[in-house]
Amino acid sequence: MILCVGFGVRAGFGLFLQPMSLENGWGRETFSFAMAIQNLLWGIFGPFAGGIADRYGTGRVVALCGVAYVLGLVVMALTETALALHLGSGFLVGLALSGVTFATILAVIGRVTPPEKRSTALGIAVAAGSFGQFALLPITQLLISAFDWRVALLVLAAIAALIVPLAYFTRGKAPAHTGPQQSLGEALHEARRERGFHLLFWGYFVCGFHIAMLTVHLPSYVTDNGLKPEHGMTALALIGLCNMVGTFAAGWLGGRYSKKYLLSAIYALRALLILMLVALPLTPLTLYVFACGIGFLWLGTVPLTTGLVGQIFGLRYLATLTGIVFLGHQIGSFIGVWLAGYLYDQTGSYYGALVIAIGLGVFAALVNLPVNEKPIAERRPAHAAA
Amino acid sequence: MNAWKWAGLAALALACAVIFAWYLRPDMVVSASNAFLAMCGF
Repeated sequence: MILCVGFGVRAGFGLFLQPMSLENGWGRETFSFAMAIQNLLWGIFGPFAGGIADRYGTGRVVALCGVAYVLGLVVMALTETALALHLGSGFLVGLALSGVTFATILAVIGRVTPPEKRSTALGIAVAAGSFGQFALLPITQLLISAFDWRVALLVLAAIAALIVPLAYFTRGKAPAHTGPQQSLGEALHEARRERGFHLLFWGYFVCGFHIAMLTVHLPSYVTDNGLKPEHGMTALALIGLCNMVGTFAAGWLGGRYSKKYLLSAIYALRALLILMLVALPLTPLTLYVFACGIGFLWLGTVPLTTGLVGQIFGLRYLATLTGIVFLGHQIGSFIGVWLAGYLYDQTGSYYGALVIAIGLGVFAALVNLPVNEKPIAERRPAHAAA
Repeated sequence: MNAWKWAGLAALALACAVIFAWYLRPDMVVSASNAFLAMCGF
């Protein structure tokens, strides 16, 4: 439920671009800059929020970030200056997202579920977040149309306030079940020396690159190729719909098969689908097939990557470690959006950006293959014996 | 899967269908297409 609210409230932020900019006399860059701050801080604060959650308990972090979320939305609702927008939407909501989204909440899911059901549970949780995004976007649109953007933001603040009492159910921290007691510093040192951790980071980087680039630029790509905006919107709705099914399926499959091979398959299939988008003439049919396919592969990487980090490093510092890997995702998001826009401005086409996305898909499919899925705790005796 | 779970799944599928239909409204197309362009990530 926290993921559903956390992701859902944020999903409709882009809808405030026009009414807020119009009323306050801002250009598009003012709002976009606030969103860029939010995404960057979401990634940067992630490892710290995870570290505090791992050390002092998740409930406190989630509750505090829930309060920050509400404050950020209220500041947004009352804002009349760009600085207040950057503080509310950028800083406060960015900080809040680092504590109420994947790293902290999935770590809780990981520790309260038995190993054989963990991957499926992670898939269900991420699918719930996806449902929040899918459902709250039209509700936000309805609120803005029926009232105005300030009222809509206050209603969203009331919805976000649900996170604070829900935080009670996330309290506690994971005990070190296996291996010797480990400090956070030792866990970070161990992760830094593990090749698989770096490979997962770069795989997630590609995930962020693909998703952010397609989310932001797909509607323009569609209209540039002669289709109507309605086709782009339908494609994004199909992505949202198929994402829920795909995320659950990825989690379920992750409990039965090797997670690294599933991740590799997801990235390879993404590359294939983007190749199809570039190579085939763009018609509504090819666009919708692409949207369903890429939607099915959209956030399936999240339960698999989180599950794999937990499988290799254990649950004690899962929030911190997934927070670090998620930073790679956010850096990839930022570069994906920026690079596609830059190359479009330079060449007048998305062709270059899509070719890079295909190359990165192949790269991510390959870098997941050498990941050693065996838990580090089980490798220690062998090292000691050697 | 018991009857309650099937009923929950059916309710979820219905909710998704209603939400999906909402995405196809003309006003949604105009505002959300612009909105997605302003978003810098997911």
